[in-house]
Amino acid sequence: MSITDQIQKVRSEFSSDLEKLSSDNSVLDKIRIKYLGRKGLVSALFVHMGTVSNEERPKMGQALNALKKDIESEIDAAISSSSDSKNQKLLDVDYTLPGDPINRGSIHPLTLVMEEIKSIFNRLGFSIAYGPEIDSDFYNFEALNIPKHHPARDMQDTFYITDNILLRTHTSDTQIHFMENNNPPVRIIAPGRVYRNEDVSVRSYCLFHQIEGLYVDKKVTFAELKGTLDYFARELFGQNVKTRFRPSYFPFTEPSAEMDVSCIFCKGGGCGICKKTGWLEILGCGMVDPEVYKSVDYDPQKWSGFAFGMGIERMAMLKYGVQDIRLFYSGDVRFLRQF
Amino acid sequence: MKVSLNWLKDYLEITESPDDVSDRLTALGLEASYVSTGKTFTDVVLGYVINCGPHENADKLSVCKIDIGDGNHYTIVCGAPNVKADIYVPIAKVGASLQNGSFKIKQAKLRGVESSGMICSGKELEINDDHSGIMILDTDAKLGTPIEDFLEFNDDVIFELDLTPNRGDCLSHLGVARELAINNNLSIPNRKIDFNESKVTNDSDYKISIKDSEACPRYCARLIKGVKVAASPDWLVQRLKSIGQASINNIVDAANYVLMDTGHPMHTFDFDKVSNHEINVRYAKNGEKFKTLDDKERELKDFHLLICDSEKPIALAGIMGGANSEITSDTTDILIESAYFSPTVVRKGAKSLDLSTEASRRFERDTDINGLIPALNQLSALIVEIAGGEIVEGFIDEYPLKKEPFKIDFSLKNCESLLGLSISNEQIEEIFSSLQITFEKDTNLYKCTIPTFRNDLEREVDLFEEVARVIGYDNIPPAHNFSGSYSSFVQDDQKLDSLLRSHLSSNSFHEHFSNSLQSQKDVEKFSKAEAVIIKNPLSQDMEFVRNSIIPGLLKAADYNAKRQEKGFKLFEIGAVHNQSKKSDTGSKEKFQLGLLWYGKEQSHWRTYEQRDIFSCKGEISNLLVSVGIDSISFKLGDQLGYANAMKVYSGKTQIGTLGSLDLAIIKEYGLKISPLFCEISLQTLREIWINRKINYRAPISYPSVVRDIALQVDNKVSAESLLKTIRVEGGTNLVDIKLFDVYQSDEVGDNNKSLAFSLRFQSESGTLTDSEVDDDVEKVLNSLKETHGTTQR
Ligand SMILES: [Zn+2]
Repeated sequence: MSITDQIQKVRSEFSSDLEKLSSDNSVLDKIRIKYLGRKGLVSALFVHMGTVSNEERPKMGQALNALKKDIESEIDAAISSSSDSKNQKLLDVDYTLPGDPINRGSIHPLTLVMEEIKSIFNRLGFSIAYGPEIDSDFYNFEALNIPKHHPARDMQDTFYITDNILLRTHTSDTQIHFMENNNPPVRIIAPGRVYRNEDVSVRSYCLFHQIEGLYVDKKVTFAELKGTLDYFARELFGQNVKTRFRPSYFPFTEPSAEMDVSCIFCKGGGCGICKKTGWLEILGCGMVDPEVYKSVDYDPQKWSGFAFGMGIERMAMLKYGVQDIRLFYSGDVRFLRQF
Repeated sequence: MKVSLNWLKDYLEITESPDDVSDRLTALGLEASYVSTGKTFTDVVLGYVINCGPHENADKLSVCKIDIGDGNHYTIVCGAPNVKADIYVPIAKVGASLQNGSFKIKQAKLRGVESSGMICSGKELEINDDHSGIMILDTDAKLGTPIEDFLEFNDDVIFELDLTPNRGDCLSHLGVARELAINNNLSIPNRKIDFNESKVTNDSDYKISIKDSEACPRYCARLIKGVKVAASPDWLVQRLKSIGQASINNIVDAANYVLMDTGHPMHTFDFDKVSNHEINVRYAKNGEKFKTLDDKERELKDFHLLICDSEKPIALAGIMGGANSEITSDTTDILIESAYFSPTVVRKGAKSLDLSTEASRRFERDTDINGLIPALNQLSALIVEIAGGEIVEGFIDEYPLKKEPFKIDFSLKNCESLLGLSISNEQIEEIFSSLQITFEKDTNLYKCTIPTFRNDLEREVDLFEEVARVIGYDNIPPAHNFSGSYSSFVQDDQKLDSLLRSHLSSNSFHEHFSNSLQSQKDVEKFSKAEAVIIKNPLSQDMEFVRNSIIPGLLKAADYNAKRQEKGFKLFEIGAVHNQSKKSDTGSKEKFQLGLLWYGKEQSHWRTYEQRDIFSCKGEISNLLVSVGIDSISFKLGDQLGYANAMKVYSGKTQIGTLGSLDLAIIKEYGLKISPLFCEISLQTLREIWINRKINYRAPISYPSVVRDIALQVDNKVSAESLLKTIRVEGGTNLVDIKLFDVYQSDEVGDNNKSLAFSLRFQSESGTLTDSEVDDDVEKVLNSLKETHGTTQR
């Protein structure tokens, strides 16, 4: 049988198959496979093209392509017409069968919290800056007014690579890197991973994540620090939370403060999570110490500013009620799936 | 630091509730919490044991008849070895509660004998730690009297302060009392110290010489002769106990007490053991050995400061005394040292020996150089009071390097502009006087003199903090607006990362954060770059900083596989490090994106997920294209740790590797199925991304023509090379090529495969005619035949 005849034969067979459809429209898929499937009748004809003479080949090719196109469009038309009769098709196939399984993944809870904090400060005009995880003693301590043999070093157990190189213990190193490379005014937040030489437990891990903030401009005041961080706390934890500032100590800020928010669990009444105080410790902050300006060649007479830093894990634990910090680093998909 | 409320009351009247005191300390920057101590029971009365006999059914129990003065006799079963007839004891009546209600006394039957109450031990009543037997009382009180009526109970409140390192001055009751006095406008009275000195001439000379006045600017001493080392009186034991200090003997306790009271650490030497009665303050020699009174021999360096006699070291200055001059029960003559040591010298010495003591903690945080003599006198008086002896007349005060109080010029205007608050002159002067800061007013400046106990106040800005602290941080109103400078905006180098995250998470990848501290095994498997080593690791498992993103993801895969997860996809974005001589930190930081495909998701009634190298290839291409990175290609290559690997390219730049890992390595990580893996250099990707361009072209309004071609070709010819030929030869009208079928069969032969392409032609200048398209297809087919030996099918 010549190719032309075969094409004709397939065409008429298809027409009669399609007519049967009106009485039994569940066979549409079967028809599609019969003609257009990988081993279908049309594909078979393509295979036979090899036997056609060179002169005839383009013509035959065209005819075959036309056949394929026709069949496709008729099947499509049949599908749309059969779905015209209201919901008939869905009732025929049991529409309660579950839909295609498109699994969702997740963004890590620490990333979620970090992104949320970034976006709050972005609104306040803070850009994002980064510092290295392996840094020198100078950037992590000295330039931040924490000389060697200063008791403040006890506040942070440090992993050392050499006597002078370490795994940074806080993202405050980024302040120095940034100020060294940029002239004031400065308005940045610096997220990143930091390390502490502490035993791993439910409440502490050998590494965690921080966001550091730095704002240096002319005539920046402590009142602005309070206003900014108060706004931040209400954005993150809800408009009804209250903040409290109490004196604290960081060598690179003066005055230094610790900011608490009213406990989001007991609304300030006192519960186990806030240790009955009604307050949750959220971040450390303060006005940038003049010594820090000196180490980056900023004029402390001309510029003032504030800095703050907070732990992402702590925020995430509070926000989602996670009790065991180690879950963040386990990769447990039963944990991750929930975010 | 523990502080007792009763002790604080030696200094000032405190009428507020413990809660309020605690809040006030916290608001002043001394973060406080507290517990109440004292009587922890109810309904415990004085009883008398009328008689006492063995229990029929239990060897160790006795059955006692008890009188508590109410006309009844009670039977109580008691297990204490020291119970006997005719003694007075504390009786917890039925219904009594002990230890703050943690247990209640009920009518009970013990081995068949009814027992109506309990005879209590000191520990059960939390009066002392004695649980060896019941408390036997010696009292004239009437039977039935509540025992709190005749025993004294130390009702107290103990504050636990979490002090910041700058506030060494608050490591004492005096210091905390000074803080509490701030807002109450009270002044702290000096302790009254009464003592008599005796003229003792024989064998009571001693001398002091300081070799390094920077390390030890001042050294004072007093001698007491004829003391009797013994147990401390109850009041002293009680005071020390209330703040968690154990009692040793009267001399040690007295020194400890004055330390906790004034914050000044002093040391007591057995005078007889001080050779030639000479005190020399000098640095140690490198390698010099010294046995401290904890009986540990310590090897010293030349920065350790020593107190020596004429022959040998007798104390590590400011840190710990020596075993060779320690007070023992035979000691009669005592030399008391009250000195000021340099904070840095003590800090360095203590740190290098990993030895932190109550003394070193205070010296490191700096002490009050003017507090030496009052503390010395207080201790001398106390020792004589509780251990007898005579204070030898006079004392030595070697003070080679005079320390002046800090002077600070304070500008109210500067203070106001930093705090964002207006403050009156009266207010500021009141604040200064509450802090014991004296001042002279000089036009716009206050010339302030700082009390020597506040070594943390050195600069004007330190005083700004004091002002804010006394006013109360919460009384400084927050600003209500903000302004910013446009010039402060900078570019975010890692902006791409959040696009990657959101794409991956919506394509069923879970984001993982792994521990970047890893073992030697981890850092040898996937990277030849030498990993950074930590000098003081937490454990051998965490000795290195990761040099590859793979091990962390493998561990997570193993974790999940062991928890019956059959299929999942993970990704991680993080820094990896390797050693690098070129950089200041000796290391180089790179950011990597790692992707891991493990197993298959659960099957579904309609489809099941295909997962193989081609599905991953597709996902990677999709990821990259969706964040705007194009011209993606894959080439075979070798990669450490992989069994099969393809390098991923964008244009000519290699950006990563995709493949399956070495099976032996997989097993080491506990996995049974090999996951597929892709790592991408984020550094490279970020650079490409920053420079990405979208080459916009208006959609063509003329119809397109599609032609399918089926080709038979040798197996060795790659699809990519065919695609390239088609693309090149198809001409400008060829707008799209799809490879829609690949198959092998008997029909095409063992060495051949069949591929079918769909070619779409379209022109911006008009509708294409059949013959135009035919010409293009013909050209493609001819070229394919010539270059790759294809036959058309
Ligand atoms: Zn609470």
